[in-house]
Amino acid sequence: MEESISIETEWAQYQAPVYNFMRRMGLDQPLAADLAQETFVRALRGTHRYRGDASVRAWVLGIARNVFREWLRSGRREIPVAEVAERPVREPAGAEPVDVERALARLDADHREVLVLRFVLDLPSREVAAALGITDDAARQRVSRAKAEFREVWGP
Amino acid sequence: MDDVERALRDLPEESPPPAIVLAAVRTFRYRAIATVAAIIAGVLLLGMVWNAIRPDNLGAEAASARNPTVVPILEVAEYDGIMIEVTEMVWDDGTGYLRFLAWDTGIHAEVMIEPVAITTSEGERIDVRFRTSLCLQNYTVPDGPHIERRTAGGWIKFDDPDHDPWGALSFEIELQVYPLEIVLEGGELGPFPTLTIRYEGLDLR
Repeated sequence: MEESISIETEWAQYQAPVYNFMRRMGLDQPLAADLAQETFVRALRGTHRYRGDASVRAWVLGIARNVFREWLRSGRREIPVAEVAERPVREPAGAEPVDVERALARLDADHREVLVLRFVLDLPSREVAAALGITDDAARQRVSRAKAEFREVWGP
Repeated sequence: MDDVERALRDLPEESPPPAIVLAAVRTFRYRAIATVAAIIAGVLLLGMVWNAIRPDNLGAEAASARNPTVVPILEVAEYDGIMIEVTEMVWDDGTGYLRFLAWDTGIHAEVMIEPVAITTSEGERIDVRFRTSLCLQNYTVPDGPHIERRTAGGWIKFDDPDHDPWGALSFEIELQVYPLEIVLEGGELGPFPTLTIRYEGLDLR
């Protein structure tokens, strides 16, 4: 019992980032919770593989990203843009307001995940790179390209 | 911070449902238990399948003994026309392989022959774990009352590092006899007798 309490306490701090990652990747609440749970199951199974060269948060989010990718690859469904709740953040003058979440949902998964990790979950570039398994430079370039694409979709 | 970053950072954080981690810990444990259980079940199943389909290889094992001593035994016992003969023992560094034959001079419908135990001259009773179980069947062919009799042979393997291969042995063999009249007309089966075959050993001095 003590063991489960300690594991629970230790991992609980990553619950919100992982769940929010899944939500911002466009999943509905039950599915986001399911995939978050699967992320922690895999993290528990692979604890011995954590080498300590990135933060635990980045490592767990890397697993979350893989779980999400696998779910996407399994071909069960694509996330329809219309499913994303409308919550307009900016209404550019003279243009249809495009909700931030809807704009995110229109990006491809590579760009969506990098923006979610970097700005929504506020990971430093170094941790984004660790979560994605790429170099810092590649992560920065990807963030930059993703921002440009996001601006095109979202902006006037 | 530009407008894109601001917009993304302004997205409200959602509270996850409680106990995601606890559920994950439970799932992790259940899966671990299920995996172990599946492996155990698989191993048991493989063992059962292997036992069911493997050929009788005790004879081959006896034939490939490294330091064989072959002890001729030739002891016969009989129960209601059912003959059991132990013909020889191949001894190999603490392991004995006993060759036995069985045939039915009567007209029992079926006889199951199951070696049960061996008692050595040192008085040790060894339960037989590896043996050939034999089944004798007598057949009546349609064109007349003809009994086909067959002789079946098998092996018993036992381990006893202290046994003198030339010493005495006794073998307990259980017979499950299904008399023809009971099979045809019904009636009580059993009790199944246990036949004991004694071998006095050889004095080589």
